[in-house]
Amino acid sequence: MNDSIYIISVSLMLILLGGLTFHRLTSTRTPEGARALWRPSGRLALMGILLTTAYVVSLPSVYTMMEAIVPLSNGTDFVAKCCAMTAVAFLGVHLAIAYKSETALRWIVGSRGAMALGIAALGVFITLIAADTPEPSPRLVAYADQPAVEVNEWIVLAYTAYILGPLLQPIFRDSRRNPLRFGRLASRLIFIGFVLSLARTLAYPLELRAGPEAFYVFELVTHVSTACVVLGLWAFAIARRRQLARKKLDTDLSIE
Amino acid sequence: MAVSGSDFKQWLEGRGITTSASELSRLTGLHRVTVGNQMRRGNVPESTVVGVARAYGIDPVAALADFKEYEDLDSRPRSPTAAEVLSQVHHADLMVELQHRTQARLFPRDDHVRIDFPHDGSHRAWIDAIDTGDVRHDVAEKTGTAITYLFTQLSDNKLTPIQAVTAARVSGTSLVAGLVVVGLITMEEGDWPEDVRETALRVMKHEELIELIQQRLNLLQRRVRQRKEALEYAEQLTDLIG
Repeated sequence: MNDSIYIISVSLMLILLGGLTFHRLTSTRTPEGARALWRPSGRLALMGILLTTAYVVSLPSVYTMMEAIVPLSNGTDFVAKCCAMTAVAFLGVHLAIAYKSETALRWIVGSRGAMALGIAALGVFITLIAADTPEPSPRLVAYADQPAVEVNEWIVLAYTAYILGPLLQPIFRDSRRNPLRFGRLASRLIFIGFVLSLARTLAYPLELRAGPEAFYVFELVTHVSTACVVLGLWAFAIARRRQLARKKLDTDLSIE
Repeated sequence: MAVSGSDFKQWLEGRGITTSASELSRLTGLHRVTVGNQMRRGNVPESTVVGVARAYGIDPVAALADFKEYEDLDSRPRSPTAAEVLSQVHHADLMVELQHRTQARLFPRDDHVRIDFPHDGSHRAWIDAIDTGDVRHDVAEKTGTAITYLFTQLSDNKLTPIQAVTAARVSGTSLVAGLVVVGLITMEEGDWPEDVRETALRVMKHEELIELIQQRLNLLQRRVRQRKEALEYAEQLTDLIG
């Protein structure tokens, strides 16, 4: 039952992330087109690719196939987590620049941000080596009761919280003050996604106590939060493509 | 804020008016479900009371005065001050008058003020016209509205009837004028002569006219700048994130 829930939610995430990333990269109507990766908004395309990769390699069949190539047992999980964390880092940098948040820029962008990502990736690697995981198991679910795996999972959640935390205030402010209604909606979606993600990090001790069976339920929270953030970003993309700000916000003197 | 559902029902019964939602909807032109919901939720907008009063030939001001929120409504003279009337003249009409006074042959005067109210900024202009000190804060405090929300309401021309009456209570002006300004009752119902705006405009002294235009242009300048900044912010953010 849990396996099927996991596969369904991962598949839905793949369709959403893969579809939107593919659209962003290949659409001829968007200004960036196929050269998206070379432009500032290419950060989002890169985020989409990394996040999609993280979800693809987490699919049980792909995971097993990858395990035959990766030299370290369950090294695929390390690859998936690194992809996910780098995607979160790109998202953080992108939003910190867009919302012009001083705090977020100080903590997420530049050497501090790179160092945090490096430390988190190193922590994930060390805890994976420290854990006893002889058989392939996506997200290390089969070994969830091992302390090293618990720390491994917690590092990923803590890193996500580190990136999203400083962005909460500017996004919340924009979700109330953005003069464009569609912009407010988009920021609200991103804000909800961030809050859910942070809530999972804070509720991690509860997740540990609930046992491995509850993992999938908590994982669903992460999937919903990712979907909210991606849909929020997509809403901003629609607003830009349709030039909603120029159409909806009137600066004309005419009262007709 | 609106009148309570039970008070509304009592008022209907007291005036010998049907309490049937479908009959009331027929009289007011509102949808039956809307009227039913308003009564059921116990939150009946003033516009419904006025609609029913009009349908039964009752003076809307007298009808509203039957409710405790508005019981003092007719306790002061209804006629507005000249400043209140002029606050409802659009800056474009003020400038037409200035043009006429400058060169009557090239800019002949029309019989009527051209732009009707409420118009962009007319609620704010009215509050400015009756403001004797700190009317915004007093209204916010007495109506339980956050001051920032009241500012937004004024910018969006969305002052409510109770806020308008409260503002008039605080500043000692006609309690009915605010209801005309927010569009709840007509000029006729508020005892405003039909040509009150034209008359007030014509008897204005030159220096008062120029000062008023100057004030309005300052407001317009600020408004245009705010709108431009809002557009730039929204465009920049959608460009950066999207």
